[in-house]
Amino acid sequence: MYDFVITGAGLAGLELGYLMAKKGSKVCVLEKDSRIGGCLQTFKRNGTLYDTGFHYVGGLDEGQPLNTLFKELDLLDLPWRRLDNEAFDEVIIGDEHYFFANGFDNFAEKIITDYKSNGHEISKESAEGIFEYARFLKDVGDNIFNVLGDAAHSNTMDLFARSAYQFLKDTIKDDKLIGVVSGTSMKLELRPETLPLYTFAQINSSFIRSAWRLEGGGMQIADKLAEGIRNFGGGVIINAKVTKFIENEGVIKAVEINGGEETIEGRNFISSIHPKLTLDLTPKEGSRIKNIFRKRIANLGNTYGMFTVNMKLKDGVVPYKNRNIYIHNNFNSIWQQSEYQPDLNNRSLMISYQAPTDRSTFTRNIDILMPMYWNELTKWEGTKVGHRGEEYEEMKRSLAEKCIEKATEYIPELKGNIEDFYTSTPLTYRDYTGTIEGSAYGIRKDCNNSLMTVLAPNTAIPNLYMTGQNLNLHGVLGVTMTAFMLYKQGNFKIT
Amino acid sequence: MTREELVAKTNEILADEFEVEIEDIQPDGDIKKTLELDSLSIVDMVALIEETFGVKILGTEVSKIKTFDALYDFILEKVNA
Repeated sequence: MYDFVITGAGLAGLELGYLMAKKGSKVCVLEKDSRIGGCLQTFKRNGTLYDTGFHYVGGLDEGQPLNTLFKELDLLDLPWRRLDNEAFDEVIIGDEHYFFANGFDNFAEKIITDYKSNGHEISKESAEGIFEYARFLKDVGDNIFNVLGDAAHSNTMDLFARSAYQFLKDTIKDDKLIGVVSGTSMKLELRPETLPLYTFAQINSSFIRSAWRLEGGGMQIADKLAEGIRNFGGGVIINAKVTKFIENEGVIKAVEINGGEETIEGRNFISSIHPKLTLDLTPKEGSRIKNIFRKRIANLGNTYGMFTVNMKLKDGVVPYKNRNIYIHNNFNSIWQQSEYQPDLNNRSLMISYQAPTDRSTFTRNIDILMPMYWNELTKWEGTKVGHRGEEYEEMKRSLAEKCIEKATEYIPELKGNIEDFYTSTPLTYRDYTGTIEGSAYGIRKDCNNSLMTVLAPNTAIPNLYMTGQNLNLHGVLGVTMTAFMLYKQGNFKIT
Repeated sequence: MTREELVAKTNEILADEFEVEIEDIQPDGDIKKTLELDSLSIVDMVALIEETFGVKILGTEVSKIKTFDALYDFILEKVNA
């Protein structure tokens, strides 16, 4: 009998497994796939590693939020590489360039300087607004751990109930400048009508503190956590798809694996997969989970997915840049990405360089990411990886060419130097990570309806908990915070 | 909508969605106890009422409503407002 049976070996599942195992609990993490890692998975083709969902993290310097959490998870000794202090992100809007710098005042000053050097006039109140914005981000980030206590939780919920876009309008008061400060926010879904201020502020705050890549890929995080769990005596089992939560007298007694091949008993059950999928695994009849709750969860919208091009480059020709590049068609398009953009020119791109493990000044891998929408993929909804047909392959090729063409405008060395490239769509994500509609950031939180869209880790079944990117906050920091919330607050039964 | 119609409609949707017997819903009964609501599922009741009757319920209002009678009065007042 395990103290904790955890469904899903993505970041959240592995982190909770690690924390519990480290404390001495008996832990078992179950993964449906043949590989652990979820969105952290890397894949290998012809000897080269490619990242999928992981690109960079924020707030990993001493005393910063992710550092504090990763210290407890023993993840600080991985080969992290800090991005350039003065330009960890470059934002290109039309033909204008902006550079994001670390440190809140520094960030604000640099934005204002760049704005002027791109030929814009800035009003006194907008300049003050940028500083106010930076101070606000600092404050939100400084208080990130309040959510782990009791008192300040309502403050977090207040920020969930406020609109990010409205806040920017009220503070910065200049639509173009709002575009600039939002220019790196492809790592969340910018939706003016719904995006909560909490999501926007917490994520941006962490990167302005400091930004980091991981040499050798995100999978190392998953591997290190899994190895730790095993060393503490716990289990991480692959090819073990949870097909049922067995509920008896109002509590979960066990999980069924692979349709009845095996059952695994436990005292506490944590599900790190999508909440809808979690609820689908509980009994339809006689469960403590009411149908009205199932319906609510099933009806929640999910954020957009990503089209990714992983490029392998010839050796020694494309200079490594220690920053990310975000490309936007124009100022307005930045906050339009959550709606289907049929014109590819209007879609934003992120360009991520893989940090060379040999510290070469050239990179061998660059990834391009672009929002992709489920309505573009419904045609192939019923197909499986590798068997989607020629039309699908053609669609991916043509999207990839368009992405590469756009990227080559800013990285001319790409021309003639791409050895090979691989593509993935939200369908790929759906099939490898089990996320609904291949959504990149999970359930869409709505500031107008925060009570309904920001889910609690508890369920009506007292020993069934949920975690992962769909709950509180997404991203590496967000998921880790969410995992710690449950770790600190779960009312677990342990022998 | 008359109060009688509203009571019938409310009881019907609550019994259906919260999986309780309609006879268990008594006018002076405690809503939370009868429907087995906790702090998580109370938002489901709010959403259900809002959707069914096209009214908006604030968090501060819902905490004051304890019995079904109070709920009927509350909805009636909103619907007729």
